[in-house]
Order: sequence, then structure tokens, then C-alpha cells
Amino acid sequence: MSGLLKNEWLKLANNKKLYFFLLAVAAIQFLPVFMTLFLKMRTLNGQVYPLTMFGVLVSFVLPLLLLILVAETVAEEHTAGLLALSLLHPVTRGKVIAAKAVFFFTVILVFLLFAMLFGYAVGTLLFGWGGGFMLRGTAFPTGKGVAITFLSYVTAALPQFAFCQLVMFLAVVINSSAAVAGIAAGIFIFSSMLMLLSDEIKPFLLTSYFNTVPAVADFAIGKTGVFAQFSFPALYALVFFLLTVLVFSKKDMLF
Amino acid sequence: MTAIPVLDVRQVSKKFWNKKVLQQISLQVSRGEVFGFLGPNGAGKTTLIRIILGLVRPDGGEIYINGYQVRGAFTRAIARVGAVVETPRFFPYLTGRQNLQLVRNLHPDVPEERIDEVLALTGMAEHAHTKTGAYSLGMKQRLGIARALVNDPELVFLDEPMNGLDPQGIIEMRALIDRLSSRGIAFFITSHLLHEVEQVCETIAIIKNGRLLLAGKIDELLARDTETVEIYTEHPDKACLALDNAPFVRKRRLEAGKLVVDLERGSSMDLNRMLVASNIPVRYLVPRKSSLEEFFLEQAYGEESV
Ligand SMILES: Nc1ncnc2c1ncn2[C@@H]1O[C@H](COP(=O)(O)OP(=O)(O)OP(=O)(O)O)[C@@H](O)[C@H]1O
Ligand SMILES: [Mg+2]
Repeated sequence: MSGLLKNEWLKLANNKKLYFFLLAVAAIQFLPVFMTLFLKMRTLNGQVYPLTMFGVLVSFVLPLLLLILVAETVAEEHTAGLLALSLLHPVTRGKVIAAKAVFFFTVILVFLLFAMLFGYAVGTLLFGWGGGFMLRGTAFPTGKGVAITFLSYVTAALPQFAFCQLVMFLAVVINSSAAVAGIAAGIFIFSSMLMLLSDEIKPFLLTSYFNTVPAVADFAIGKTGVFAQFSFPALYALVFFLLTVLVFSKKDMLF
Repeated sequence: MTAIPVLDVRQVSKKFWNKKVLQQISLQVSRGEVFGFLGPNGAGKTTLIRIILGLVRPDGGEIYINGYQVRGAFTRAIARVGAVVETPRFFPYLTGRQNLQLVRNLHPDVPEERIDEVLALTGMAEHAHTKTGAYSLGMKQRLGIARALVNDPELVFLDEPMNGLDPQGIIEMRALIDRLSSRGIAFFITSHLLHEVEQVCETIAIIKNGRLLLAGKIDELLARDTETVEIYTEHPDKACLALDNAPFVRKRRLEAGKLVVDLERGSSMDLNRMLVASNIPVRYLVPRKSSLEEFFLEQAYGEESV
């Protein structure tokens, strides 16, 4: 299992795609600078900067990057006859899928932590550290602000991971990586739209759980019931992981 | 004491949709044996390899590698197997060495140095740090073999290994297979280059339309009831006349400067005696081995080629 995980990172670290993805994340994080300079939209400081683009990052950018990554490392590898390579060694198919899942989780964490640190760096260098942390009209002491920022970023990994599991399931069912990416993008956009239309369906849509800032902020001011926020994505991830293992274990590898 | 075969395929069948791709295939490969698996395009060779390796599920039958059943004890069965299925695939953005590293990482017991060993063995050391996306077909074949050897296998599957190799490469590949098999590594080789199989394999099986036509030691398969002898003489016409009445001659024909005679097996002494008795000066009398190529064509394509 650790060998499989090592292999995934060896591949990604040597794949130009990783660096383009990180560049895309950095570009999004840089946007508030333009908004401030050209539109005089708001006054920023280093403490609040990392959360400025957080919603856009986790609700749009990251899911799109991840669906490309998953389609490539599962469906594309499969049809290129590369996924079969790891199956010719003493590892079970379940472990191959588990290693991919853990790999995606680590990739998500790397993207998120990179985005946060990049945000702190850009914000502080350009606007200074600032006097305090403000979130949704509430002021928090610096320490609590950093904690809220950090927790928001880290907990966002769970719903992103659940989304990866859905794409992974599609990738073992459908062989074409373009079809996988297309269908996953369709589901994602549809769900994001539906979320805006109806409050009744909202709790059943994974996209509703992408932005973790409200839950973490509620937790920070002592509201309970926050953990329910994370049980849905966790269950979602588990179900699609098990389905993926089930389908993949029975699959004929013909490429 | 009967040694366990390194590969034991029992009654394997497979259908794709309604097409019977493999029908009740059984075969065995013993330790250190070089086994040639021959058949025309679409016969089912690659499909059988995929089934043996656990990539595809058979509809029926059992497979044992080193006594371990592939379904059930997969990780044990596969631990000492190396394989190249169809043309070897690599991650194009990784170097040759990194592609082998991926395999090493799945075999914690294999030492790091093993990678350089197999790179040297296959003559790929100088290209080890080039990205495989820039490799030629021959280089990919070699690296594919190197990769199949990383885990120190006891059984190696090579699907058309000579494909894409230059003449020098083919000679080297043959020498490599010889050397490794003498160390006890068994090979399962599919090939269309039949004379290659003849030179490298001890045992062959011929498959057509998913059915095993025959299997056995090459020497035994070729030992049929006739043998062919070439007679080199200054007087081929005289020799022809002399042989006309010989009961043991089945067929004779003149080829450039020699007379080619098909005899009943074991009658070459009689032939010699008869030529001497007829006072025909013979320069050489050379036994000709019927080539596996002829044999293969006869068996595999016989029905169509008449
Ligand atoms: N994915 C598939 N779906 C349906 N039929 C298939 C599939 N793969 C192979 N076949 C069929 O199975 C048969 C055997 O194919 P296989 O690739 O095993 O042949 P082969 O002996 O390796 O041929 P070649 O010498 O061309 O490599 C062929 O008739 C082929 O059409
Ligand atoms: Mg084939």
C-alpha cells in the first residue's frame, strides 16, 4: 500500500500537470489583489486574505481540477494499459483503489495548504498583517482567526475527497477519460445549480458541503450541530469508495 | 517425486459476448522451460496471458502458478512472475529508470540495485535517464523485459518479444532468454516469428480459433514418420534413376545442385547402401530437419492454404 502511494506521487511529481494546477490555484488566490487595486472593492489584510477567495476555490476551481486529475489517473491510465501494470504485482485490486483514494486525499490537502500559505504570503506582503480578523461581521482575535482559516482549509478536504470518490467510481465504470470528465462536470454543474434553486434538496447535494467556512465559523462561536455537516460527505465518500472497489475487483482489464 | 509445474493451466474457457475466444485450454510449463505459444492473429494468445495474469476472468477453468491458484491466492501466485503483455506500456513522462522504480516499490524485498542490474542486462543502462516517451519500439521492448525481470521472477511472459528489435537485438534477446532459462527461469513466449520460437523454445503449443491444436516438445513434434535427406552429387540424374525403384523413397525432387529425398524414417542407411551399390559418387548426404515454420503453417493455416 505504501509502495502504491509512493508510485502515485512519483508519477504526479514528474507530471507537468501538477505545476499547472498549482499555478491555477495561485492565480485564483491572487485575484483579490486586482480587485483591490482596480476596483477599490475592500480593504484587505494578511489575516483575512486567505479566506477571500476560499469559496470560489473550493466550490469551483478545485472540483474541476480534481475531476481532470481523477479522470486521468484512473480512466486514462486504464485505457492506456497503465493501470493493469500495478495489477501484475502482489497487491490486491482493493488496495490499488485504496491507494488511489489516499493519494487523492493527500493531493487535495497539498492543494489546500498551498492555497492557504500562498494566500497568507501574498496578503501579508502586499497589505501587511493587519490588526484583526473579521469574518461575516464578527471580529475574532488573531489566534482564533488563524485557527478558523486553518480549520476551514483542512476540513474542506473531506467534501472534495467525496467528490473524487464519485469521479473515481465513474472512471471504473466508464472507460473513456473524456466521457468521465464530461459526466463528472455535468453532475457538478447541475448540482451547483440545483443547490441555488431549492433549500429542500440542498442537504442531499454534495456541492452544498464544499464551502466549510460557515460550519467552522459556527463552531468557533460555540454553535452545536456542526459535526452533522461532515457526516454527509463522509458517508458519500464511503459509499462511492466501496462501489468503486466492488466494480473494479470484477472488471476485466482488456487494455 | 513429481515437481510442481511453474504454470498449470486447466480447462480454461472464455467468451467475449457470444464469441468463444478460448475453449478448454490446458497446458503446463515446467521450471526453466522455454514455452512457445503459437497461433495466427486473433487466436487467443494475448487473452490467455491476460487470464493467467488475473487481468481477465475466465468463464471456467483453473490456473496455478507455482502451485498457488491465481484466483484465491493471487498475491502469492503473482509474486514471482514477470510479464510484458502486448507492446510494453510506460508512463511517457517518466524516465526508463523511474518506470522500473514503480515496480521496485511494489516489491519491498527487491533491493534498489536490482534496477541497475536489469537495465545493464537488457542493454538499457545508457537510456535509463531518458523519458520513455522518446523511446523507439525496440527500446520499449528491451525496457519491457527489464521491467519484467525486476522482481527476480521464476516465470516470465513475453508477448511478441522480438517485435521491433533489430537483428542484433534479436540475437541478444535470444541469448538473454537462453541465459536466464539456464538459471531456472521459465518463459512463456508468443511469437509470429516462428524460426525464433524454434531457436529459443523447447516446447510449443499451437492455438487456433481458441482451441489448442497440439502441444509438445519440438523434437518430438517434428519426429514424424518421414525424414528428409539432401544428396549432393555430380550425377543427380543417375541417382534419380537408381532411387526410382527403392521401396523406402516416398518422394524425390531436384533442387539447385542437389537431390532432395523424403524417406521412411530410419531408412537413410539403406539409401546410402543403394547409392554405393549403384556406383554413384556422393559428396555429402545431409539430413534436413523439417522446419517448425513449415510445420506451423501446415497445422495452423492448413485448412485455408489448400
Ligand atoms: N475486448 C474484447 N472484446 C471482444 N472481443 C475481443 C476483445 N479482445 C479480444 N477479443 C477477441 O478475442 C480473440 C482473441 O484475441 P487475442 O488478442 O487474444 O488474440 P491473439 O492471439 O493475441 O492475436 P495477435 O496475434 O493478433 O496478438 C480475437 O478474436 C478478438 O477479436
Ligand atoms: Mg496478441
